[in-house]
Amino acid sequence: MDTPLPTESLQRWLHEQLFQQVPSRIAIIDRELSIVQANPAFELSFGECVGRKCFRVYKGKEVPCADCPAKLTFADGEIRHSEEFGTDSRGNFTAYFVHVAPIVAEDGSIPYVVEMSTDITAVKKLEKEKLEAERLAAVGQTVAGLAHSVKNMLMGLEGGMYYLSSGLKKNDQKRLQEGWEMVERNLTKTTSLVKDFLSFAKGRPPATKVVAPNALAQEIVDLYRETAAQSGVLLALEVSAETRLAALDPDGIHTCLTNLVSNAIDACQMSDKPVTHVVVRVREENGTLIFEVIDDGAGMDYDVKQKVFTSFFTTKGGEGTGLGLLTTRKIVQQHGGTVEVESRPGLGSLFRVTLPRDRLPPPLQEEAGNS
Amino acid sequence: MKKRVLVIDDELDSLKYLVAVLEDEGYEVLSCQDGDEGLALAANERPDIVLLDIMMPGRSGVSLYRAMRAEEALREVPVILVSGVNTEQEYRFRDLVADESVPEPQGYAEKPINVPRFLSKVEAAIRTE
Repeated sequence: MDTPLPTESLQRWLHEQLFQQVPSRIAIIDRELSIVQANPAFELSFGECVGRKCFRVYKGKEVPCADCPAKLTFADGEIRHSEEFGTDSRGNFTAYFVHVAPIVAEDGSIPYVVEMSTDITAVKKLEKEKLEAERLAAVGQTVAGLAHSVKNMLMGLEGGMYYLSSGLKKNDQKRLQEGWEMVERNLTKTTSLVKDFLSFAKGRPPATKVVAPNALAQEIVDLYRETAAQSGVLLALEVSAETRLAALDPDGIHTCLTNLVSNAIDACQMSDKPVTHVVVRVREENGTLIFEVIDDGAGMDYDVKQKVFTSFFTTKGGEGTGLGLLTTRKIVQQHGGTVEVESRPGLGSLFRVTLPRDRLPPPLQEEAGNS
Repeated sequence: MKKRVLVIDDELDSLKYLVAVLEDEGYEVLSCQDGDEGLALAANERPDIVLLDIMMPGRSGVSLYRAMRAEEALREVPVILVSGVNTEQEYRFRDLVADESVPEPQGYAEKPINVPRFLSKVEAAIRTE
């Protein structure tokens, strides 16, 4: 064995060096939630505080916080940590990450907890700025994408006009006919883009109900089985028996799965393989509900993969408005989830919708209605 | 002799429009809606110029352009990129300019096209070769 630690000097060191000089704020709190001791870093942020209630000092509140981590630690002796927001002694907003640990007495009781908090205000500010920047970038992409779609439709319309006017000049009936069809087709396209765009822009809050995720997936597979078969695509469903009920917006998730499955079938049609497969999979993993749509179709190259979630991007020529995946992502985000894609050109793609259960919106009451 | 133009664009109406404008101007026009097919056509038919859309399913226009420039037989065929986005910006955005092994295309045309300006671009690109 090494030399035993010199307890007394270690104690002193701990107190003088660690407690007094660490840049983290440390406070010791009693069962009445009064601060009995605080280090200089703590007092620098929150002012003189010994003898005052912690909720007053941290947050300027008159009553203890509903989800007070210290109270929970007094109750169960567990170490816990959380992100909190408060107000410093100068009245400035402050974000901090706090660790709460029990100080256990010899008889096993917990007379005090120690709270060690780190100022993360700057990090939070950066995070917010980054989100803002991403949102602005998304707006820019949306505008650029809208311009792209509109220009393509104008190109089609002008093409139709060109056929009409040159057809008239040449007295070419076939050209006139084709020109008229081009105009019609592009007007239809304009209408459907405007409709899709309006429904995307308008959106609606998720109308959540407790539903069976497996049944939702089953519906989509039933809906598409025939269409898929006609294109030489085998559509299959793989659900885990473990999947539990979940509060979802069934119409929204229906839209997401419809978009993903119809995209997967399109991707299969773009490939040269004689038989292709699309699998819809539902499973549960660590409290997270997962929907996957997997195809062994054309796959995507890097360029395409980078753009699938940007608005108005479509590889489907005249058929797509380029809003499907964007709408899908929006709905998934409204459910607190994420959607990601893995893809290899020539091999296929996998779209995964991940919905952590603790982030799902609460189910709405019946009277909230559903339009 | 009629000059031969290859047009590659996945949007059918856009393709038909370009083909009609070029044929009316007296060009012999080949066309297709798919990048890979376009590359094969370019190699087999040896067009005097290729007009290339950027966003297409399967092989994108930019990827097709790179493939053409990497191939001995197609390296010298002039290419005009045609797209609904600000084409020149799009091209630069994809960092192709920074890649010195790939020369810039001979021209850019933005959809919807202005017919006289578009035709003079095509003519100029063929003439410089």
